[in-house]
Amino acid sequence: MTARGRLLSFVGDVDTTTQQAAEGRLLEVHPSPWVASRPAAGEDLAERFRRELEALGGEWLDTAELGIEAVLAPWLRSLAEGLGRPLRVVVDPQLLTASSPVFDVLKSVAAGVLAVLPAVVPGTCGDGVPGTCATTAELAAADLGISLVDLAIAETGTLVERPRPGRPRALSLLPPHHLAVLPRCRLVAGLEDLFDHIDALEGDSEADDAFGAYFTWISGPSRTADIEKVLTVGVHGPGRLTVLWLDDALPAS
Amino acid sequence: MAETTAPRPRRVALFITCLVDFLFPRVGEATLEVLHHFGVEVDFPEAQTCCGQPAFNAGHRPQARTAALHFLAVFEDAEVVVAPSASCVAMVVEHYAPLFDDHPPTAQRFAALAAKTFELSQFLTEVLGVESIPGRWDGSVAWHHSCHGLRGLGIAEGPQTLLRSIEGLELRPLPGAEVCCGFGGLFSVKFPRLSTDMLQEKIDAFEASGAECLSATDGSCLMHIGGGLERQGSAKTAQHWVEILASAIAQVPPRQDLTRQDRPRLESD
Amino acid sequence: MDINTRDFPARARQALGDGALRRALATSNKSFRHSRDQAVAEIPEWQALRTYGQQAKKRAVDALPTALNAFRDRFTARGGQVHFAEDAADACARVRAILERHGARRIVKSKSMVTEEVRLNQDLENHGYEVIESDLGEYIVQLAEEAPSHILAPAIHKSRQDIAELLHRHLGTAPDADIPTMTRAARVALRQRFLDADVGISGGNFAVAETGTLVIVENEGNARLTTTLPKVHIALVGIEKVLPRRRDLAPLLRLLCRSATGQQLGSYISFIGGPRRSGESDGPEEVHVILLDGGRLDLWHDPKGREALHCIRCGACLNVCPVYERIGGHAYGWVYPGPIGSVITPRFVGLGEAKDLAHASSLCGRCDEVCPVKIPLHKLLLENRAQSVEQGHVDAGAGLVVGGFARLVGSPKLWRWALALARPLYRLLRRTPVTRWGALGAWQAGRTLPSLEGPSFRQRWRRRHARGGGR
Ligand code: SF4
Repeated sequence: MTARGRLLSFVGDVDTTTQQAAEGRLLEVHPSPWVASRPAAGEDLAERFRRELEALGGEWLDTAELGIEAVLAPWLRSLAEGLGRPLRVVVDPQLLTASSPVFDVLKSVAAGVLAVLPAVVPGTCGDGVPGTCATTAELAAADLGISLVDLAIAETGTLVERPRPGRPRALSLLPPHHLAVLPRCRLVAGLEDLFDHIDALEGDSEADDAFGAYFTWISGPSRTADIEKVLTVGVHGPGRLTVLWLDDALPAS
Repeated sequence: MAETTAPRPRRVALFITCLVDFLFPRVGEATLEVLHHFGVEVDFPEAQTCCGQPAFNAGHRPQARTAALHFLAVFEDAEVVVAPSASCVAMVVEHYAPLFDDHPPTAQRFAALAAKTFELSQFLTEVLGVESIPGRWDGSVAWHHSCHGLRGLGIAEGPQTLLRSIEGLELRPLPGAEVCCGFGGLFSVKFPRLSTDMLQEKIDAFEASGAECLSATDGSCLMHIGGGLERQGSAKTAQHWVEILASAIAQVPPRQDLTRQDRPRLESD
Repeated sequence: MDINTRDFPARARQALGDGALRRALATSNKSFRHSRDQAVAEIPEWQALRTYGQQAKKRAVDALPTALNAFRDRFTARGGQVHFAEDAADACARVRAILERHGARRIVKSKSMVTEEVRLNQDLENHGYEVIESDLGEYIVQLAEEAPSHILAPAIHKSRQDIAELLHRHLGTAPDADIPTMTRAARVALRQRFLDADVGISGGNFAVAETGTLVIVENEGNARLTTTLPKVHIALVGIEKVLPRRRDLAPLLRLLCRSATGQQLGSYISFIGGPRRSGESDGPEEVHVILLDGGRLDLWHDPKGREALHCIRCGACLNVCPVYERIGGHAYGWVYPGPIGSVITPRFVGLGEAKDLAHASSLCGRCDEVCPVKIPLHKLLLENRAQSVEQGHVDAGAGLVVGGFARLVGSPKLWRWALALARPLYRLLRRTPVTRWGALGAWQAGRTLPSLEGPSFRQRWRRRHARGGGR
């Protein structure tokens, strides 16, 4: 046999029945060992998430006591003050619905604090999907990207984002600062629990199960240690990551 | 010091190893003394040769198999095989059986042999259950883990516990005790400069430890480190741990339960 | 990367004498080890987890044809494209075919050892493409026209001063810029390249067959950018990266991230299942996964070598290796350095081409101890040595010595004579002045041979017996 085609025949020499049987065997459950870093039953997940996030250099904005308005509005104002100009923000369309508490805050502080980008205005995206599609150029020029987190893992302080129509993947990537809105109901305990949750979610389409086209896990700000092993944040992704914790209701999506 | 409870005497076959036979016979004698002290009778099958490790490590498997088969012929009938070297024991325990995986019955015989072959400290602490050594030895010792002892056979605390139990002996921590001294047999010949550089790190750590003597389970490490110390004109020494045990035990009056005949005799007797 | 494995001894000697390199390596290895040890200590079940990882990878690799087949089916069903590449030339040609179809010119890359392995950058540049590495370390070595020296930290052989001078020349930063300043400058320079790129090329850590998902672990965000902004994403992945079950990801990610950098998880982990979906405003419109053989099938077919394919490229074995720590990655002469490099390089480039690598180890076994999937690296090194001998890559002198050894070792009588004969020879050798004979001289320069302590143990034993002594 020539070199070319060897790999193909290595892979391809099985009929469907054999392949399915073999795959079935491969998917047999092999319980993985319990690992102490997984949160114990009864552990306060929010507290754990916060600890892990802060250990990674992320920031925690807790709205439990004061409410969203009282926490988010001054925070946005202080960012704008720090820049000495209005903040260029791109917002996840899920947060721009009439019932979203975040949207109310954005509207209330908008004047003088937020620069008007197409993205803060609800509209429709490319294929007529409701949402606000910032272009890549707009994202690259933004100061802050605000996204609604799909799931989060307390054990590792990790945010999980799945692709959504109308929400650019780069929303949590291109702006130097990422504000992730995390409602309590989306927080799971450990890595293994996350896989359970994903399996329970609906697929995006017929071809896709919940594992879907894409998702990304975000644990802390972008970092590198490529020069002399010295930790430096913000190399390609956001250098700042802030989590806005919503203790109660999930904003309607 | 607590009296050591006398374990049931046993009979072991001593595998002396090339290095001890040729270069460090006193380590062999010390092994005899220590085993005798704990009531163990020692056979020395004179037909023994080399475990074959040099050939095996160089990749010459047929020749290593010759050595392994000879070893099997000599030691298969022994109740227990003991050697004062972790590296040679690791050869027997880890590598013999897989060398014959094309012939399962032979591999099985090697597996059985592996199950009854022990490095000396393993035999003392794990088989006999020895917890302390009587007598005394004045001085400070830094413990170097031989790679084959620590990672090959899992020997970590055993020999150190025994050393620590000796009156007058101070065990000092050696930074990087688990790091290789750079010998590696053929490695030190193929890459002498690399090996010397690793040796230097070991010697520097030893010098910094403040201990007078470096000790280990393996003659090969000790030859290497001792040779490095000598080349640099250091006053410090490297000594096999069983020699320290034997010197301590030599301070103890002869035991009543052994006849004079059973006592080991040294060249200097 | 060109294959320079034949020069290993000379390159190693040179590296050993390079003070700056030695300092850089000592610091970085120590830091890597420290982070890893801390992260591992947090998990009391680490050994059980390693065993699970070992078994999971064994299940995956043993079932490679099935798993590859399943991955191709699932990933294709998601709208992705899967290619199988036999060797380096095949892989490069497949990449170029995709580039040509899209009329692409500008390519941005995130870190991938497989692309180093197939010399993709050289190939593309030879064909007039503009290729830019975006991982900070890779970017640095690309500017310096060097090769990566560590599978995780490509520029770890360079000091911050080296890098400051380099960036001063290329980006105009101050010649003594600090690390955050340099990092910012690289961010700005590379950001535009991402925005302009036609195609992004990445590697991949796992290819999950069950779900048709490519998993990429990283810290900087450059892999996310590479796989998000350009219209086309091409991933080059070794066939051994395919993983049958998605649930094995949880333990394997734990093992990988803690072993690699001491993190619980990398900052970003992307799970890619084909191109963007309708309604999405970004993400690639085409995603290709090129699965490379490049010698892996041969290794797979060798029952004594196959375990090497379990490697998840965490780099932990490099970081504990006393040889790697002294010579760095470049000395090894090819893409994969350290213990895992000495195991797989000879299998990929030829045992004869890289026969010294298997010997570049004192067999101390520290690598075995840290490997998160329990690859018995020192045994695989021994296997390489043995296969190398079987293929005849042996010095004539060594052959003679070993032949003689075999004669003696099986015959107690000959053995005794030989040992007796060896004594005067040994004494002579001991008295030979230092550095008289090549290798032996170098050996003796570092250490003396011990003097003989009187008669051998055998002789002593016999005398004792003759006198009716103990047994
Ligand atoms: S051999 Fe093991 S330790 Fe080395 S890189 Fe691969 S997985 Fe990591």
